[in-house]
Amino acid sequence: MVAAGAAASLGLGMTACGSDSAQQGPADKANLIMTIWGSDNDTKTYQQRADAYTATHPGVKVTVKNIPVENYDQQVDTMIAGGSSPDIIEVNGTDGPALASRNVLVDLGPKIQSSGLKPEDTVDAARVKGYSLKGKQFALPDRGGNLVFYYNKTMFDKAGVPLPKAGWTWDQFTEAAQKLTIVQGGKTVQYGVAIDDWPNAVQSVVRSFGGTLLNDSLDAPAVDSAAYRKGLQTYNDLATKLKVSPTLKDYADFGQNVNRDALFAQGKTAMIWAGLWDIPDFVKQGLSFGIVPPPSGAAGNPTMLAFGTGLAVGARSKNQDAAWEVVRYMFSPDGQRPIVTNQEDVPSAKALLSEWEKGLPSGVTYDELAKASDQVFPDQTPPQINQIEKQVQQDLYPFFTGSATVDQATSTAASHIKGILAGN
Amino acid sequence: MKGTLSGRKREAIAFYLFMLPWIVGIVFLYAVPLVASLVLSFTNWDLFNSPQWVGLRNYTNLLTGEGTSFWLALRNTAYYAVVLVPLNLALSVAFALLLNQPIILRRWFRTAFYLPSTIPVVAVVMLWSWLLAPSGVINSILKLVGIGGPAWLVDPAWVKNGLIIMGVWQLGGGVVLFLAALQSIPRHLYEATMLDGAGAWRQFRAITVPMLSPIILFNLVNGIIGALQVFTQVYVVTQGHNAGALMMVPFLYDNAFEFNKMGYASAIAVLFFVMIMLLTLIVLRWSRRWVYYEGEVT
Repeated sequence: MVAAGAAASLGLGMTACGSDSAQQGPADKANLIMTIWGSDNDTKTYQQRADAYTATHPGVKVTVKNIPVENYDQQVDTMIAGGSSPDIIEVNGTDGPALASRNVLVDLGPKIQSSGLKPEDTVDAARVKGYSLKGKQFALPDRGGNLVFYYNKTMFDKAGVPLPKAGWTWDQFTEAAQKLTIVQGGKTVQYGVAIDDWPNAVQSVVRSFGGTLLNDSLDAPAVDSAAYRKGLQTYNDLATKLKVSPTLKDYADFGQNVNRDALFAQGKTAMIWAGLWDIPDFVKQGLSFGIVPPPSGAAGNPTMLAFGTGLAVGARSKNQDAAWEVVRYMFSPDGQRPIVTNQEDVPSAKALLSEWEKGLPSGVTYDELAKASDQVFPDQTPPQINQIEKQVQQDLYPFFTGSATVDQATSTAASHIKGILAGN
Repeated sequence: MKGTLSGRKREAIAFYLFMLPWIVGIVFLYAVPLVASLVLSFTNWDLFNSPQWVGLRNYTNLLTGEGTSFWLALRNTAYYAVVLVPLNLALSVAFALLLNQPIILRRWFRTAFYLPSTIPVVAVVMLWSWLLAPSGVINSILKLVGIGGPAWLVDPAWVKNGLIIMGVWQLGGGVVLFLAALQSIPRHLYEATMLDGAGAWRQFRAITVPMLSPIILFNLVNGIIGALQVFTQVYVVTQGHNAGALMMVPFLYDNAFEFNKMGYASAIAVLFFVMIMLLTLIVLRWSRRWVYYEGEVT
């Protein structure tokens, strides 16, 4: 293993010396490579969008390369290090900053300015900001979506609990969760809510209590702040104190790969924090459910972490101008439309949201979420976000499994974050 | 005879030709990367931009930097190896002895004991995460005798023990080696000691153990290296979330391939390599006192 790692690093080392001269090709004639991850539908949708550009710009052809998600980062790294950088690179909130901080993504800022594009007119400003690092715009938002809150209508009706809606408070939520938890013979047969240590949900809940992982300038931890601790404790109390959610130990009893989504799909929990991508699966299960903004720890705070992907231009691409034009087209509502028509995902373009809503299964509406679009917040993304998120999840794990207090766990995390930010 | 090679020369050429694939392999796949790792460990390298020389900084960060996980990974890995390796050795010898007896269904038992080591690690993890679940089979059995079992693969304080149990279950490979070695011990040695009045324990101490000692050494060295480099089961069980099971190689892997800290990861590799090397040397030196090679005494 050690030798294999060394071998791999060496192989990359030798090729990293390859040329990356800035000989740039013309914008109207190029064969571009675009890397993405995901399903066949993803490949089809991106290719369709690319071909739509080719239809009006016959000199530019785009080949969409779908890389298995578990190797995506490594393979893109290898392509870049090997001197054949993709021209257009699909990125998300964690791998984008990791690439941008290593200077292999083009700063789109000047291109945006010289072309007169105003990204905020097409997409929420918070979302655009999610793809910037130290004042450089390393990608434009592409697919959208954010964390939302699901509830099982059948269970709510049966328990006579009013359905959740935008602006509901944490107290209303816990009250509902208690009413929806059913214990029979000492065994919980239905949970009010199913929580775990999924970082996206943790971040969203804690944010609604005013807590963030890092300070605003992203150069120090804030994970040990009072607000963060209160949010985290209140969240986990759902499982350990109120017992309206399974604990991590309970999940271990349910079996491998049984997570909150699976519990909701099986009709064993009334509520979950989850992504919009679960909708088709829950429809398939024949559930009657709704989506709303999550409950908030304090009124006015954001509650929903922005998800989605962005499109970046490789700084070692030989066809940056052509690649930028394609990205610019794909960013436009017209360029994004196949995301909706193929039911691939949520588009980031505001103008397409109503079209996207029409594709929702009957009975599911986006009305409550539309009222709360100001509650969407972007992830904090310093270049080391990947390492920080992994470290924090590891440090909070003893808290979620009951062997550390919230103060201990968050202090450990804070010390680790300091080390990571200092480059240790 | 002009134009033809002497037999000796021809043999030498054949030797090098046959060795060539191996030599090429060891130079390019081991020696060069090894040296490259050593050099890289004194640099910061993000894979894309040219490495920057930082001297010993990776090492000082690793050993004394704020929030370093190196010592945790080392402690966890050492615990895993210190418990698993002797346990595996003792049990492998014990099972080999039992399976060498003329018991009924002997062939069946031999197969049964070997079978677990043929199962892919991921399947093993699936099986054991079910057996070792907080209310799983093992804890239900423990409950019958009044013991409240731990959350084996969840609780950071217990997850290493859970991984050790999985490791012990897969000891079949060692058993097979010991079984083969047991069968090659000449019967007359036992007969001779029997005539001298030695009991079973004495025979085990004076004949079986010395005759098995080369295989014990082999299993010991391989066991130590294997245990220290544990990777897959840790990754599948904890997905890297459980600091109680943060082991050395996953720690290295994350830094290299997830966090793009190639220099830092190389420093881990170098330190780890030196440790394994030293440990192996100590074991080999120590083995002179207890390993008995039949060929050496005539």
